[in-house]
Amino acid sequence: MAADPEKFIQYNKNMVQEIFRKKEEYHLAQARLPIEEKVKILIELQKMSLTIRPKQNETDKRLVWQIECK
Amino acid sequence: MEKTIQVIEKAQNAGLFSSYAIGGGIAALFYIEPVVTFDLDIFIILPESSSPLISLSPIYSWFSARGYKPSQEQIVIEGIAVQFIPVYNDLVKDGVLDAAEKKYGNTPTRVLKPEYLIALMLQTYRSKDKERLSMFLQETTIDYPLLDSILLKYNLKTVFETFKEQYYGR
Repeated sequence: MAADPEKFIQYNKNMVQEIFRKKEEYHLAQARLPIEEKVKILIELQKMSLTIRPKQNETDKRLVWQIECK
Repeated sequence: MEKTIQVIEKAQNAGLFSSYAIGGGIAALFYIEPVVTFDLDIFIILPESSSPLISLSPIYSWFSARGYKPSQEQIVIEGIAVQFIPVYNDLVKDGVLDAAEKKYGNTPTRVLKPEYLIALMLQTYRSKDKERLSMFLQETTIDYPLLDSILLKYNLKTVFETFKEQYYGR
C-alpha cells in the first residue's frame, strides 16, 4: 500500500518543528550555564578558531587564554 | 579569569581608575551562550584630571611594574589579554556607573547590564552586533522599562525598531 502523502508531509513538518525546538532548548541551556562553565567552552572555541584560521602575522594578537579552569 | 579580575580590582584600589565594568564579548558571555572572543574588555572611568588629554600611561606603568607587559593596546594579565578602554561616550559611562555586581568564582566583579550592552550594540551596529542582539533577545531576561529608558535617552529606539522588523518581521 502506498504511503499517504498528506501524512508524510505532516510527519516531516512535525520532525522539522521538533528539531528547531530542540535547537532552541540547547541554546537556552548553553546560555544558562554558570559563567565558569561558559569560560571552559570559550577556551575550546578559541583553540578551534586558531586552528581554523591560524595567525597570519605579528599584529594578530589572538591568544588562547592560559588559565586554570577548576 | 578569577586571578585576572583580582589584579584588575587591585588596580582600581590603587586609584588607577575610579570605576570599571567588564564589557564586550565577555560581558555578553555572562548572559548568552558562549561565542568566541579573545579579549577581556574593561571599560574604565579615569580619575578627574586637569588635562584634556586621556593617557593610559599610568595604567601601563602600574601593570608593567608588576610583570604584566603591555603589547600594543593590550596587557596580558594572568593569561588573559585585557584591553582597558576609557569610557568614550555618555552611554558607556552610564553603563559602567550602573553595572551589575556579579561573581566569578568567589571574586566579585562588575559587568555591564544586558540593557546597556543592547544599547551599545545598537550604537555600533556592526554585523556581529546584530547577530549578538538577536541572541540577547532570545536567551536572556531583559528589563524592558530600563532598556526603553536607555534607548530613549540615547535616541536608539528607531534603530531598535528597524532591527526587530528586519529580524522578526512586523
